[in-house]
Amino acid sequence: MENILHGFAVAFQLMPLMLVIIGVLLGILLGAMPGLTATMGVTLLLPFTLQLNVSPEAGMAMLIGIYIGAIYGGSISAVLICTPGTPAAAATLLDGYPMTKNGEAGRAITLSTCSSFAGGLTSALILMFLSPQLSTFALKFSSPEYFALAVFGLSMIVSISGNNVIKGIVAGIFGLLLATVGLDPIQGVPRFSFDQPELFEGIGFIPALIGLFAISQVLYEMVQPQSGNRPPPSLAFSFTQVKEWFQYKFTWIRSALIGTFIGSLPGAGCDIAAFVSYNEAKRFSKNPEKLGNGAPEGIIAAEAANNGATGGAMIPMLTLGVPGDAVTAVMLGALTVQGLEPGPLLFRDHPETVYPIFASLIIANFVMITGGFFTARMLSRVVLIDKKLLMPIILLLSIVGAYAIRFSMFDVWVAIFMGAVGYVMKIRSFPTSPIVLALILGPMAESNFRRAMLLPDAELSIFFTRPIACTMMILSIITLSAGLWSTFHNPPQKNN
Amino acid sequence: MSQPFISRFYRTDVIISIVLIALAAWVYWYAGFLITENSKPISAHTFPRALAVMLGSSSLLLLLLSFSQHVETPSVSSHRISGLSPNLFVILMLITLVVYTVLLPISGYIITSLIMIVLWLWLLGKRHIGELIGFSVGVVMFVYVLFQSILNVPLP
Repeated sequence: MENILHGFAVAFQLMPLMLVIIGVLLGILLGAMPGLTATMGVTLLLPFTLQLNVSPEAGMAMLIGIYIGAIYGGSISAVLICTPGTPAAAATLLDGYPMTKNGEAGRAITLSTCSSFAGGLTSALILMFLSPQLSTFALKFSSPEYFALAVFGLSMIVSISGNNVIKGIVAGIFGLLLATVGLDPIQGVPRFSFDQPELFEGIGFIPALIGLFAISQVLYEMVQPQSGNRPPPSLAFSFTQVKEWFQYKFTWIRSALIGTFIGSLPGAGCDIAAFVSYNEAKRFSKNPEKLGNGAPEGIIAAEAANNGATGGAMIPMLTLGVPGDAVTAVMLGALTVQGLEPGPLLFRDHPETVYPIFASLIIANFVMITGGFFTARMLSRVVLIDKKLLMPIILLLSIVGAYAIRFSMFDVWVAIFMGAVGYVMKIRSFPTSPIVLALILGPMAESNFRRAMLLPDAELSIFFTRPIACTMMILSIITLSAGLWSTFHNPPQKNN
Repeated sequence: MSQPFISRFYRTDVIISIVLIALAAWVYWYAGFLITENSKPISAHTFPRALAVMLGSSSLLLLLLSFSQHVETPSVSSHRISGLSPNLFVILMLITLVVYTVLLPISGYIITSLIMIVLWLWLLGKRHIGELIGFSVGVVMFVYVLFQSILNVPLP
């Protein structure tokens, strides 16, 4: 307890507090811009924190602020313009954008902000009190468990495909094939790269995301008639919305816990957490058919989980010295530059640094909810802009965002190609989210499957003889079977 | 009444299914070249081949279902934009995006983006010259300052 109080005392000093506030606000702006990710934000600001010549705790406070702000900020553009600002917000748009189209942008933003706060705060508290226990459990995950987790994640294709499960499965397998482009993860053999160096690294995930969601949506919206009977968008904030959010307490608590746990698994980040949590929300929902059409549970589940994963990702970073995701890998570097050695000894040798980091994480979440309500309201006004003016802005940001990831024109071509593919999919009722899910989970599935098969005496049964892997495989089979069963027993009607 | 170009075909899902089956066959064939003398039973070719089989069979299922009532098909827009049918408009927009991407490294971000935004606005029906230029300059400069000056992210 003494360490915790000391942590808050340090974190509330002027410099760390100021830096965490600047970090969160900057992070929200970065996250809301398509193509600018949390990883990029933390990487860009790392040299700045070193130049400031402040204490390691103050420097880390700023980086944590950017991380928390960016993961939340990604949901703003996902909700308002159907373009996830960060990959972590890809699941948020499934219900966030339909809600905006129904004229409830303000409600969607409120649900997203409150859920992000709840997820982030829960994970910060777990990090503070339970990180050693959780990291011990996470260590039990090896390649068979990771493969099973990836399969479990992929099984939710049936959940996010709405009435088009078969088309969703086709889209998901197409996405998995796209994920095999590039050097294979074990032997380094080039696949489908046709001697093009740009393809050795595979299809860029973020350019694909920008193409599938932003460009295709712009093309689709451009050819839609200006709706005369669409309700005017409401940006109003009210405590009724907060009360509504609180009614879904089981959803956000469950999602925050899922997010924290998945975040604590090295290599499984906020994006995977959001999709897994979304699937669980659908499984537990009394009205699962409403998810995907603007249901509050969809936004709450995705946002509580992706922000829950932020604290989760810091658990292996601080306790084991293993980053939970790309952002914490950069933070790991920041700690090392400051002469600190993350790992089990960090808690014993440097409690004066660790506990202020915990405290900054908690403070960052409070800054996020406060700043979020103000900045999101301002950014929400984007939905009031004339569609004919908004579309060119989104196109420009899409092209610039795709380029900014690796400063590569090739990524811009990928975004345009995926935009055309996404448009065709959209007008033929092929869901695009399964492709995104497959691009996230495909490499994880393949590399861990092959690693598992390299284990001594490994056979396919290995995925059913280990308790954790077996549980997830059985859950995957149930999810897939239930989705297919409902498809063939409730076929949709043709419109034309 | 015209429709977006893909939707013009009756049962377009049939065409998409056939294209995907052909893609699956090509992937299966191509993955054969990834097998080397040193390859183990599970190697670089395994996943692509397994996925090719899955894509082929699921596309075949889609093909069969396309003839029944099991696959939802959408309703599509049919109104005209700037005198063009939606299909022509989308193709034109894709062409402008390709031209933009080709010109970006040649004439740079500012000039290319200014021209393209004016063109996109014009295609969307904006005709007021002051609005076209003022809006384009504002957006292009905002993005430039944000990325290049504040975030230090270089633009082409």
